[in-house]
Amino acid sequence: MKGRLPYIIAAVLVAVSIYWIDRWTRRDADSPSTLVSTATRVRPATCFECHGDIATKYAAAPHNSTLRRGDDAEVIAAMAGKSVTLDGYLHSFVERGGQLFATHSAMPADRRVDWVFGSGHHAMTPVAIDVDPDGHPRLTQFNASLLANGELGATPGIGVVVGPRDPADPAAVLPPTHGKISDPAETRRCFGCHVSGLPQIDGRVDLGNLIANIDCNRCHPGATAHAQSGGVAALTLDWANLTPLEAINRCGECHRRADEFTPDELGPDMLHLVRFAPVGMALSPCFVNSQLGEAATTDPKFARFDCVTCHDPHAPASTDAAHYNKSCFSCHEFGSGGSHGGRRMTGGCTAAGSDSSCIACHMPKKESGEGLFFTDHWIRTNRR
Amino acid sequence: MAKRKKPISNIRPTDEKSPNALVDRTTILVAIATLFAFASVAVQPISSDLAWWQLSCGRQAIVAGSLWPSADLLIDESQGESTTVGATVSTAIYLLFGASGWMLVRVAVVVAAAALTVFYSRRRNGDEPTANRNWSIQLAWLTISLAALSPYLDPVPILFDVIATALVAVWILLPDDGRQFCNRIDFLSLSILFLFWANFGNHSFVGITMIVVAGLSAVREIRTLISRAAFQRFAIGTAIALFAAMINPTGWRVWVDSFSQTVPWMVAPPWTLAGTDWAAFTQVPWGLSHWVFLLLTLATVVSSLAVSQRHDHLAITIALQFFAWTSAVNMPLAIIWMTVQLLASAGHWPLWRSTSPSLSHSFVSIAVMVVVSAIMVRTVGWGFEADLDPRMLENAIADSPDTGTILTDDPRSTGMVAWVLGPVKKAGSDGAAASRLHDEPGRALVGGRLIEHRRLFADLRDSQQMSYWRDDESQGGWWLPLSQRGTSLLACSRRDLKLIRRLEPTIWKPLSLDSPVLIYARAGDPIHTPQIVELLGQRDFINSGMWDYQPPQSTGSAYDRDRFGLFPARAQPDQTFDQADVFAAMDLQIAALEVLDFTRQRWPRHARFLPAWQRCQIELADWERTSVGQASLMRTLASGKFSDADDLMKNFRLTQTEFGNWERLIAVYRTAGAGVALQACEAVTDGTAPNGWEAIDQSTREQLRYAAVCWAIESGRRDDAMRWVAALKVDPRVSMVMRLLAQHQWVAQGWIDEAQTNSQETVR
Repeated sequence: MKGRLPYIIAAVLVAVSIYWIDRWTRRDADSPSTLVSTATRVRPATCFECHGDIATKYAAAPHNSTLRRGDDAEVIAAMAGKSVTLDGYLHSFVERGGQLFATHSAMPADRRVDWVFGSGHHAMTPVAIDVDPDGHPRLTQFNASLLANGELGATPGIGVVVGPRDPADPAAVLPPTHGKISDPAETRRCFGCHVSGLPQIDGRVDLGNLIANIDCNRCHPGATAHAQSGGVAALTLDWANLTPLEAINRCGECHRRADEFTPDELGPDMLHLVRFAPVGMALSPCFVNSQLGEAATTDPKFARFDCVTCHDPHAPASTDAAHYNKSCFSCHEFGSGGSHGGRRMTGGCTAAGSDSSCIACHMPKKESGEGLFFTDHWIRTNRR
Repeated sequence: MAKRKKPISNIRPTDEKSPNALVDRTTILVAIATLFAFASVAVQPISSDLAWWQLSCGRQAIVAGSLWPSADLLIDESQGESTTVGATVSTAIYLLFGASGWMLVRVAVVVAAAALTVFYSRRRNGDEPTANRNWSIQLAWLTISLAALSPYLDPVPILFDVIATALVAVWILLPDDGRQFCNRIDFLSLSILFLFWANFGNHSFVGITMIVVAGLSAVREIRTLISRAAFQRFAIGTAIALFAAMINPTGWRVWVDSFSQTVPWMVAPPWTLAGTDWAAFTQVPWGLSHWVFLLLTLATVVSSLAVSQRHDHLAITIALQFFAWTSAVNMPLAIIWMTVQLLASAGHWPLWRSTSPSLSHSFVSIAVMVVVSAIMVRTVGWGFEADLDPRMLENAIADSPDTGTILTDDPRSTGMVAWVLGPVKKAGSDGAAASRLHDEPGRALVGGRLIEHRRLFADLRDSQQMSYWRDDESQGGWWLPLSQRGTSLLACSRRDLKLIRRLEPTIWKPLSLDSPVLIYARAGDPIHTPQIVELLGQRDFINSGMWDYQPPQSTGSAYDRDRFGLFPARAQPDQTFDQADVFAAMDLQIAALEVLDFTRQRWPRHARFLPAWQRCQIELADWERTSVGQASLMRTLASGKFSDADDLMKNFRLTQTEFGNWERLIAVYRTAGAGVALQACEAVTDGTAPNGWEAIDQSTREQLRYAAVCWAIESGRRDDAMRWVAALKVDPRVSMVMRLLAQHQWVAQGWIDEAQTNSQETVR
């Protein structure tokens, strides 16, 4: 027995290590998405203690109001009592007991509006939530959305039309529905771009505890450590260190990025691309040229060109043409064409002078759906 | 070294004076039982997931003369493997003799194991009166072990690992026979052994560990000359083994690769190993092998307590137990070590030295053999398992002019696709460019790429299409990686139902419905568009209920268990249920119910029937609820246990009021003369044969008329279904809900085009 003691001890140690390894391997999991991460998040109010200038303008930013509950007073005030005829059926929103409901003239039951997507600058799309057979939340986008003009219209991408449906249209035989049902994955994607935190319980999205709208944590990884250190610790991601392409692709995670499309999906005939600003940017000669060659990064005449060149994500988009002209003139100047001293000349531009709006011609607003207008970020010479 | 015990003095052999006729007869019985048991273990179909990968690598080596075939076959692989020779030999056997050649390898291994066991047993005990009962009991042990090792007896690397482990065990244990080997032949045999191991198997690290551990154990007793000699033997043996194994296509890296495959949890994040044999022993699904492993472990513990076991053997056992528990892929190696050790030490067991008559041992042996035979005979077959049948895969991709890349999910998919695609032509050789595979999980593990592979499939399985960021700053989402890799085809096992389910709404569309490995192509890819469109038609057809499911019949091919077509009526329930699961995952619930209808008739009490059937009904009920806001009575009854109110309300999120309404509705039906039809409806939902449908007419309650529609669709009575739906659609007495449901069924069944031609009949 004495001779075997070391082996008994070894066996016990091995058994303990097997148990420990088993537990360790059971607990091990892939690094979670930052959205579902349970890591500590800094509250925006904490950030605003030092970045007070941002606090004021961010209150009005679309990023700060991109998702609201269906029982939000402003939402109810904006939508209740409004109706629209889509595919020949009357769609209405009514308020009952502090809740907003969608009604459909051919459907037996009304459905409650649980969330409303969109800030209202373009549209607000109401959705209802239920769960699929596996218990995963699933949303139904209602056929009718509130457009920027304050009227109800057809929700983009649903396939319904305002007014009666042409009987010759094959879709006319389809049974009526409240709206388009998204599977749980699409539901998660939809919420994923309108929240800063999307917790999960047993692999299922927990909508009851989501952190609505885009806060500091979403775009500034490392914000928590930065705040905890009193601003000493650098942010994990410094936007200034990203290349312009990396920067617009970061925005493109929600606003869509060009490399998510096949080349034949990126043609000028694809009118829906107008909704995806980073995609248009990536296709623009301005952006492409600013990326080319060594000069693009070293020559000060080539100004950095990405989303934040013109837009402050902490504030509503400017409506001042001069604001955008300034960005254009950082590379271009009026002249007869070609280039001079590294600056591209405007060539055949027929605009009267520097007080004209460059974007009015080169980035016009285009209709993406009935009543939905977006600025076309595919900067180019628009021939009419 | 422990001293050998003297024979116990009270041994009293029963047959020392004269031959006992009964003993002779039992010996014959033992021999017959052994023959049956060993045959049932040997004649098992080839089932290794690595079979086609081994053959693909071997073919690449033979056809292209490649030293690192995996580097040719895989885009992501740049190094190569050490087992090229093993793959070449296995492939040569297959090319020469077909699947029968591989089967003969299995048979040869089993026969050799039995012969060696009897040989050593009789050589050791041949002149002792206990000989008969020794070899019969030892054969029984061996039978149990071989049954456990049966899944690992196909000529792929793990078989060679098992053989090599057994030979190293013999090398270590032989001196226990009273001889000390420390000569040229001893070391030459060890060098050949490790040369073989490195070139055929993946776990030579286990072998070197066994020798090192044995050597270290000898250090403790180095005071004696014998111990010193033993230590020298192990020390020199270790050096020889280290160098001999390096004679392989990858050289010294064989040790790194082998280490990676033996302790994968040390080189890859443990979560990436989940669901594979690399996971910890407690985290893999258990089968016969795992229970036998536990039995052998128990026997080894008892043995070490009962007899004075050598320290080095104890240490090796502990080491192999560690390997097996931390990664189940090492389990067969631990099994073979414990088996060899138990057989070698059998002579020391008190059981053997007892005075009990040898007859009892023989009967125990026979009982063991009978049990093993009974277990194994159910899966007897000659050739490949149906899950390894690549013929449907050939239909999907063999003649495709695709030049993109193919992403595969597991070794089986990778191997089957690689085999169907054919050998890869090297750069500069003639021939058109062809599709190539990205990676193989085994090679990805060794090459440190497993995490990328797993993350990509986790994103596919989790529908993470768009880019997102993880806490570790890595970028997720499957769209970009697949675009950047130029992935044109996805191959996934039909066992991965979650992946199939999640691919359904994406742009990835299947090119086959009933292949063991499903191929998906991108919608809009002009190369595969005709196949996708053709398959869409097939999907519509099978989901219309207008067909009868027939289980795969034996064609006498190498992929039929019933190789010679002797039992044509013998269908495999699991194969049929798997097909139903795949259809359901592809959102073809009616097709799945059609298959399940066959299983209901053939195996009415099979454990998989009701869950699969109810799952389909739950999904169809959900479809009804999302379409019109409410599920029909029939689906509600079918998809839940109606007697369990809580369950029903939970499943369908019914409020107490809604649930009460259902109960009242059924009560109304019962009292309103619809009892017969309701019983028929309940019969369907109970999974029993429906009767009483003839009672359904225009006066029947709408819910039962709709139930009749559902049943008619699922049982292939298309005309009845169409007629009843049309009547529901236009009947003004029918509620809006049921009219809408009828309309949805009309559209879902694709009857729109037939509306015009049938309109007159419908109105009537």
